Amino acid sequence: MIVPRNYRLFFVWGATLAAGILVGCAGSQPSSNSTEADATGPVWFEDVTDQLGIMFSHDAGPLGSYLMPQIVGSGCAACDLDGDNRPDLLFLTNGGPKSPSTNKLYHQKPDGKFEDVSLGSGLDFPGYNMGVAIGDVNNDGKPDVLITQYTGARLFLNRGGMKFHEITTQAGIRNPLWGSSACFVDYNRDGLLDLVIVNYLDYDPSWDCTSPGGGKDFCAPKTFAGTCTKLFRNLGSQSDGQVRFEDVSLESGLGRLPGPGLGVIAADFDGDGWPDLFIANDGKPNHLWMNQRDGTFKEEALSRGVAMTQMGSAYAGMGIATGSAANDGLLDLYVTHLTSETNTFWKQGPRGAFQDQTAAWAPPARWRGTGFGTLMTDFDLDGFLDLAVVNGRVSKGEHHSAPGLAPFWEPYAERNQLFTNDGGKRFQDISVQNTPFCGTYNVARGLACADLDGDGAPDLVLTTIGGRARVYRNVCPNRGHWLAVRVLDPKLNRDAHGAEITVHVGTNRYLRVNNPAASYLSSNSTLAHFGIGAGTSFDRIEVRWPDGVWEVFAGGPADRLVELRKGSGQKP
Amino acid sequence: MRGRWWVLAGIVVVVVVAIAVWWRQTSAAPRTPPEVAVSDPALGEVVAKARLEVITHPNDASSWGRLGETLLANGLLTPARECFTEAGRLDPKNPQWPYLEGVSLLLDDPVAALPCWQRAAECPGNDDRAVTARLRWAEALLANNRADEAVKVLELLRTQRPDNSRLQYDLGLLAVAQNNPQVGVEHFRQCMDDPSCRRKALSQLAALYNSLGKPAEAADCVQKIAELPLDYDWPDPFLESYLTLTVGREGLFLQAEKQQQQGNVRQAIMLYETVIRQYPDEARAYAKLGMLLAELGNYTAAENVLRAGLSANPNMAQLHFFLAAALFPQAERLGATNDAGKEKFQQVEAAARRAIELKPDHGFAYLYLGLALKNLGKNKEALVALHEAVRCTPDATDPHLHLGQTLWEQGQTTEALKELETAVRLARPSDQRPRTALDRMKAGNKPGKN
Repeated sequence: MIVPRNYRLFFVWGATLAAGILVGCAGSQPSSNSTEADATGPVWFEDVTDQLGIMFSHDAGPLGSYLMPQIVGSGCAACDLDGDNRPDLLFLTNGGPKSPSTNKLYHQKPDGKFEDVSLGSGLDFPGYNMGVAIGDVNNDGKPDVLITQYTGARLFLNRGGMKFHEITTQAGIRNPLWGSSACFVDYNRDGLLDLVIVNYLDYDPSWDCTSPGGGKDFCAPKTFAGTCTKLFRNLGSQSDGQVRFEDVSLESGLGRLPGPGLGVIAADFDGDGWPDLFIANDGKPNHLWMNQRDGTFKEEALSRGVAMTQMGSAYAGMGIATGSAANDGLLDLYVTHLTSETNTFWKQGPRGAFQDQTAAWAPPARWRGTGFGTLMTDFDLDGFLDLAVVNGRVSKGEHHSAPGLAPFWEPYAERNQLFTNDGGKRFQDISVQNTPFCGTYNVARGLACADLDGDGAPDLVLTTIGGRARVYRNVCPNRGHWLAVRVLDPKLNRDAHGAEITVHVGTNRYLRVNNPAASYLSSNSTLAHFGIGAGTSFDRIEVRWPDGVWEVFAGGPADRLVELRKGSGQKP
Repeated sequence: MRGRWWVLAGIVVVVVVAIAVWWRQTSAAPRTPPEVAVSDPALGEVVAKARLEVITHPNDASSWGRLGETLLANGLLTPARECFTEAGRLDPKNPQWPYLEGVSLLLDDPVAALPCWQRAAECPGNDDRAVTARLRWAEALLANNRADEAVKVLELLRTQRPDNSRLQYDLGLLAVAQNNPQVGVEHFRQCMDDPSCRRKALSQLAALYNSLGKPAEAADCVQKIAELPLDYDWPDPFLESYLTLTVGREGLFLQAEKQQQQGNVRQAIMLYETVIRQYPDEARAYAKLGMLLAELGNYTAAENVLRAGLSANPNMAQLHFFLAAALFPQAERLGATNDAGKEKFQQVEAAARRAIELKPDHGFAYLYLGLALKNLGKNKEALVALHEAVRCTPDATDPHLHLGQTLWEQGQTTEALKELETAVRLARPSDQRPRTALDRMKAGNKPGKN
């Protein structure tokens, strides 16, 4: 046994050391916050807002009035509006009808930069502009634009050349309620895109609300009753050449059940080939409207397990992301909630039924936030859908300053989040290392996705309340191989809204639904993006067209855009 | 010999330090209660009083706890948390302090509340408070994918309180987490009559029945939920007293709303009256009180309250709307064939129009406008207003019912039939007015009053 020469001093030293440890442990408090020290891993996005020439700043209207529409924010759209195969951008503003600020439309030029073409576009108007939906309502090959408003909705026909003409009144679109998210969907499979407008609250702007301690603050949604979703059936072009819609909210069933709706997704959740509607309600049970295939819908969220969390709570539902997180061919749902709640991940399985698997799939994140825009997209192209969430509070919290953030908004600012899908088993928080997208405090709301630069990797666009919109280019290193798929119906002269596309690579299958409406108040690219990991080619693509017809298309090399036309594939 | 002295010295050092640590943990550290800035004078006064109590008795856990409860009850969470931490340090065997510390964390960081629930659950005792703390801990474990740990807690509670509804509900959640739907069904059925979890339990049952291939049972659960009011909060002995600590404008208003939600109308009325007395500019209190009085059939009193509210708050839409609602039954009683009645209907029209001006999508204001115009003989305008009522609130029975009636009276029977059929579909089973009107119409009778 080795004994120190001066064991006496060693003994005292050792005793003192032990005592010091004892004091240190007794004096310390357990920390409830995770450390942010281990910021390893690649950065996935870089902020290219200025570089691309996007100078849009959201106008929330006069500060201090605490009008509720202000805190709801506005969305954005990323879509090729002029047919030049480059996504353009539309940003909405919310300053009110008397504001000097208007919506902004940006056209992407061949060099990848954006040009402000708002003036004279027809979309450059002020107002309490909330959400945007994109779809070709008259099958002329040009995507049209629907903008929801606090007490309104406006429909614009695309005239080409980035010009739009309003047809709201003559088209029969009358929505006197507070419109939030919206989507175009051919719910009756007649080849015409119908319109779903989700409405939020029966808000009384003269009703003041206060925060604890007595200061004024934005009202909570529970203060007011929810209102109904509206469904407008597209009757097609009439004899005068004008497209008309008919309000079938009540006949379809959607108008019978109000809810403070904020998000909407149209997709086939039970595999019968007809699109269903999932609506995220704010503080009330969600709605899952199952298409009955006869022009009506039946609300089945409770029995299908997606109305509330596993603990039986109806959380504040805002944004919605959908995708097959485990690549099992079933669409899952991810809904964003308040800072005090946990965003919920509902895993579909068996088909048509959902289970809250948040705890298993989404362990506690590095930091919390009130989530709004959210998307399930394969950012690193490894074949698994990742998650992006943009955050910003709805009631006052701690103050956080940031460049360009007005002091009024500091108590509402939070950081965004990114999660990588770990092999189709869980989402891992990678926000810490992704400082460009996640490091800045903001009051974010809309989030849209498109491959802006055509490099195969999805980029992101977000909106904030009272601040700059931001564009993030995907710079994830060591990305996998990819495929972009455009599905067209030549008879309808447009993108096949609602088509389900499955790419097969070996034993792997990757599913996407071609509907740009997702996230929160926003609209995404109509191209379906696939990451296929290490595979340099794909074996085949299966498409279920919106009318239920199946076709199979041959495989080929990866890393390109593929256009599939209905009728040119093989029967399965 | 000298070596032994060194050993002794080392032991003394350790002992002295240990005593110092114990002293530090248990001694009366002169901590100052948190400073809190509030704008409401009533709240400020109560907080100051509670702070003084702590300053006077800094080693008394109850004083710290009382200050914490006062702050928590009035939404001042961060300083409340500090108080509960200190109370817990001074009184570690009392589950009250870690439990309330957990409550104060719920709005900001529910995951951070986990250790608090655990500390509360591990405190000794088997009374209601101990059971509640353990149930809360079990629920937190289930919510965080720690079902295996939740099992132990729940099984222990099963031996102590087997019939507890909340326990049964949590056992149901455990079964769901363990993929035992049939066991889940058994537990949820045991608690589905408890007013604190009727809707929750039936919701869980609906999903479970569906997964078990029993769609009829699932549909039955969904049907039952539609008829039920919202679940009450679980009884919570830790929160019973703190709720009475809400003070000030917002605190009183919240107390009144809570009483109203629980159906305690008289108490709610008293509290709204208190708010109005203490804060005469609080428009919401006038609106809520006016509405309550109208619901009780005391229309004149409702009108007086609402007019008083409007004199201070002329631009509040709900005040105008509730005024229209309170005036209408009075107008109906007087009838439209005399001057007094006509004047009342005109007052309804004016109040409804002003409500619509302030809130253009006010469906029920359009409804009252339409009814007033109809009674004043302005049928075309009435129809326009009633159509707007339907457009703004398509999910409500009354706009369809009254539109249908009015169309029928004007001979537009096809559209009338459609509206009345819609009203029948939307009406609650207990509301037979639409069915009566529809049957009369189909029988070829003349339109009657509904």
